[in-house]
Amino acid sequence: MSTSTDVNSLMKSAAAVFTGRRALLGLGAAGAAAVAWRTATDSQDQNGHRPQPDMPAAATVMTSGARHSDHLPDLTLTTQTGRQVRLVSDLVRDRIVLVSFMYTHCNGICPLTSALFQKLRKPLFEQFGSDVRLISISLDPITDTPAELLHYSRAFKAENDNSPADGRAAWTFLTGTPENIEAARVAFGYTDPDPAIDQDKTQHAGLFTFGNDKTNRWCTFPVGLPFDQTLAGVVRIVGTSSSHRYAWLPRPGADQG
Amino acid sequence: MKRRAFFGTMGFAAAATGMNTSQAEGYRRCDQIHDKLTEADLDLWSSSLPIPPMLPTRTVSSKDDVQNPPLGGGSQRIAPEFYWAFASLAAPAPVDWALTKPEHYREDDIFRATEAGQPVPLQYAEMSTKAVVKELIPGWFTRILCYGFKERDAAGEITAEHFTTPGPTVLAKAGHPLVIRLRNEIDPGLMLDVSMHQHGGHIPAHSDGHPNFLNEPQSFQGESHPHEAGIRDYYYPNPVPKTVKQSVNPDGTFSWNKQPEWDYGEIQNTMWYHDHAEDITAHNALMGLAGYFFLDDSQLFDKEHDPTGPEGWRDFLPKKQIPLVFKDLCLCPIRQEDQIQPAVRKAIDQSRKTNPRHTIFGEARIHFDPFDHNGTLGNIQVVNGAAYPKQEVKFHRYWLRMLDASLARMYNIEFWVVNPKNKERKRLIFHRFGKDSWLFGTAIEQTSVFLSMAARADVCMDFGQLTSDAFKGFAHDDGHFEVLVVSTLNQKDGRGPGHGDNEQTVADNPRGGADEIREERDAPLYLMKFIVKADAHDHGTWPKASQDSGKDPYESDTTSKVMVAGTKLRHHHVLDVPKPGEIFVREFNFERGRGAWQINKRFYDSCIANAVPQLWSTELWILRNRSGGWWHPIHIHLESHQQLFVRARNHRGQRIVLCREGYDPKAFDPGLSEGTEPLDLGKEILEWEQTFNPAIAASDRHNAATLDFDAAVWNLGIKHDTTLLGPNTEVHVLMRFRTMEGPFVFHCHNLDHEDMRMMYQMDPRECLRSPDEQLKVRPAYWYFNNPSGADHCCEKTKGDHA
Repeated sequence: MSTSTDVNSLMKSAAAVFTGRRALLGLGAAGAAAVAWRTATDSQDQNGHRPQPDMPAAATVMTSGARHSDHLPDLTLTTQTGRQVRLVSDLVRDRIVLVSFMYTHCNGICPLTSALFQKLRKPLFEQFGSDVRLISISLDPITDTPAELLHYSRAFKAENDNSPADGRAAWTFLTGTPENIEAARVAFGYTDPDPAIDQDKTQHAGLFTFGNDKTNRWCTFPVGLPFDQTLAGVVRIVGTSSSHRYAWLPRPGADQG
Repeated sequence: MKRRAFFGTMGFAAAATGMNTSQAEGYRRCDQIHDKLTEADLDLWSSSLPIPPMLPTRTVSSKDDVQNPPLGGGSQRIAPEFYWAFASLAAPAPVDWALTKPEHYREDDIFRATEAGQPVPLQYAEMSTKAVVKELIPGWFTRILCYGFKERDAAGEITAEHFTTPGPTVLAKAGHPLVIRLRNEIDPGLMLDVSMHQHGGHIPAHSDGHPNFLNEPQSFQGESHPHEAGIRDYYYPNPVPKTVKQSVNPDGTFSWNKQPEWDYGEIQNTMWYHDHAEDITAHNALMGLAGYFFLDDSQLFDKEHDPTGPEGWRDFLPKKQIPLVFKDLCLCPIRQEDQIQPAVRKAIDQSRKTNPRHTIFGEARIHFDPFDHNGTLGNIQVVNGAAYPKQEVKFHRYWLRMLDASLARMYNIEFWVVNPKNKERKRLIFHRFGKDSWLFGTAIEQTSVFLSMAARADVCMDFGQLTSDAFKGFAHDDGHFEVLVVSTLNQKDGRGPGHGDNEQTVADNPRGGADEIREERDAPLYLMKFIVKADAHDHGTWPKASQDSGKDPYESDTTSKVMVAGTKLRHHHVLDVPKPGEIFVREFNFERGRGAWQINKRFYDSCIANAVPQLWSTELWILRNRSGGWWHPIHIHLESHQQLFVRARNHRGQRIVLCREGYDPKAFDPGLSEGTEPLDLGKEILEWEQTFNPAIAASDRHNAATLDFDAAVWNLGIKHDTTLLGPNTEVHVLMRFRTMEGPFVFHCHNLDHEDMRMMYQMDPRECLRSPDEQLKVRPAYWYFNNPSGADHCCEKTKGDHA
């Protein structure tokens, strides 16, 4: 991680970005912010982690022992490369994650969800480096074997389950035993009190849940909001400084994807 | 009282339970959590009812009176409307704020009271939001979010801090403008934005607490800010709007016009404020960000010449007031010492130092599950921030101002007197004279009040009735009486009443509403207790004893006249029943979709104005709940709406159909007689009248349903800012759009649903337009730290109009 001197200089650069925000709110805002940030962070540590220039000394939570992730089950699941991972300790703990539920044979909302995730990977990686990870959990674990998920993920150049690729955030596809998949679905609140709706997989594929485990802020968005609102919302909620959180206001008339 | 195992002497001997247990349990609804505090963990009626402090204000007469920064100099500035009257007191306005342009200059639209021929000066107050540690339950320390203020000495040094939940009570006067500077002082590491919404008021959009108008955390380490960060100056002109009138033009078209007369009946009475920040409203409100905002108009009128109602009607209002904010919480103890928050540990150490005898159990956190979007319920009932408190009162009349500040719980409030010998229970009768922000035209007699989320009720409770023969034998040995405040609606599910354990009780209750059925099926929720005695210490109620003399200014409330059913109060401007073709109609269907919450199959979009009504017009809005068994209290910002037609079931499953005389709902909604629930209006109205005809004896009427659109209440043409939509309910309301341009939101006040996007925007505009006209509207972010963003306008989505 960076030294304290580095942090100070980076803070200054962050402040400069903040001060100049209004000017940056034009079309080039996101790019300019990212450039300023990159200039200041020309080093990466040996694990490929980018230092977090804007991270305050300590992100805190309202109450101890109450990180929301403490209450997610630490399920063992399998990635698209066949790797066994634990949901909380390997994927969520101390990281920024975006979680959605999908299945590869879904013709309804899932392709939109996956397209949104694909679109988010680059700007999120620019903001958060390898601290951010996207997770797609299959609701159809019988059909969606790791091989099936690998095939699916290739379409998004996401066949590496653990590392950022081409400046895009890592994207992990997960499958597992039906019991574990069900437990994950319930834990993230993708349920409905009406049993018929609850069993309808398509009802659970139109949302994504995201959060920053360090700051303990979580939120769920529907898929299909204008893209710039989605991105700005995600950054505002999981971001760790004013520069992160408010620099990317949605610009009406921008990409409404 | 039985207590669970708690921590040892130091308070924190690690218990066997801990993170693993909670993981095994999952992280779901309160009733699925094993390790939580319950009624058995605390002494009922042991703590006194806390009364929030009043927010002190001061007069601002020159620019120098507010500094660091000047008015409008914070990062979030001040409303453009502020410059209409007070440009000389504020930092320069951005040149291109549309509302300062001459063609939009409408200073005369905002009513300002005068004193000695001059407009009254501006009042100013400062408030902050902060994370503080409180004992919500004696012995258990909880970190919550509070509104509060600081007292300073002449040198500006802080001498005392008052951070409470509910927050400080704001008392403003009608026509007297007030600015509240809100600083977000919540620990920046918590990454919590806030936005303070004044609920039920009529205020500029910038100061309304729009969900996107955020106050960012005040400072991040190492960051500097172009403006004073985290400061927004909320401008409350506390205006009286002008009346509007419809006229039909010779060519058959119609138009709405602003009238010169002020609509005094629109002056609000019992408002409140709470957090409304986008995506995190439910969390922030649950953690404590809510408070009362009262408006007083008595100074506006000479009692003998009051233009708004019968002479001297204010004399019927009890002088002594008790604010009651009802809320439910789920509190989970922290069982491992190493998990205790540093802030909590500090508070515990401090408490130990100042009061060594005080029993301390440890830390309890408020349970909030960000992954559950159905509606958050708690198992502990708190009133004014204290669990199961008590309040002493005399045999006098009191003005009870009640508010349901829960995220998802509804209440049917009753006042039970319990006979200490045989436990016989009897209900007190009271007079209700207000719902939401507005006083009724006529007081009504009731024995229960139904409160949905965000709803308020103003009640005149005469504890003197306990001295009547009806309560002979109910006194305790020393002559005092005990009155339990209960909710007879024991809601088990965030969806609303009628789910869970009491499911069968509500759907088909053949004897609809009879007390014995209700009581055996819906175990009452106990909320608080009044101790009624002649020498009661009721100084805790508001207004408090004068600080100078220490004397209670309302020692005995013999000054107020006796309120009875039918006492005439505020006169309201009741809108004419609309005719088809003469009013714009918009329909809003509240639905569940794609696992979240939608209106007209859309999610909340901060860049779209879903309705762009003409300023100074009135529209007919059809609100439909099409989400099955879910309940949605719909809150419309900006001002009151008046109900024309209601088709619903109440919380006991009874069918309710109400229709204002002369209004033809089918003419506006042809689908009303079709669909899955065929509606025979004639038959249903008959059914309603049999149950609710005012001619029925008073005692029977008390047993009748008391939804907040109860016939007795509803027929008075009273105003709402929140209309409850029960399952498959349809309500037609008349909504005016006066004084302020938007954007404003309207949304479900089950705040989990609101965060999950059951919210729409409206942006009243002055220029005339047809409903199909494409219009550029200011999106919410127009105001957000981006006052020069004139180009940042959204195209109104064509076809989204109704």
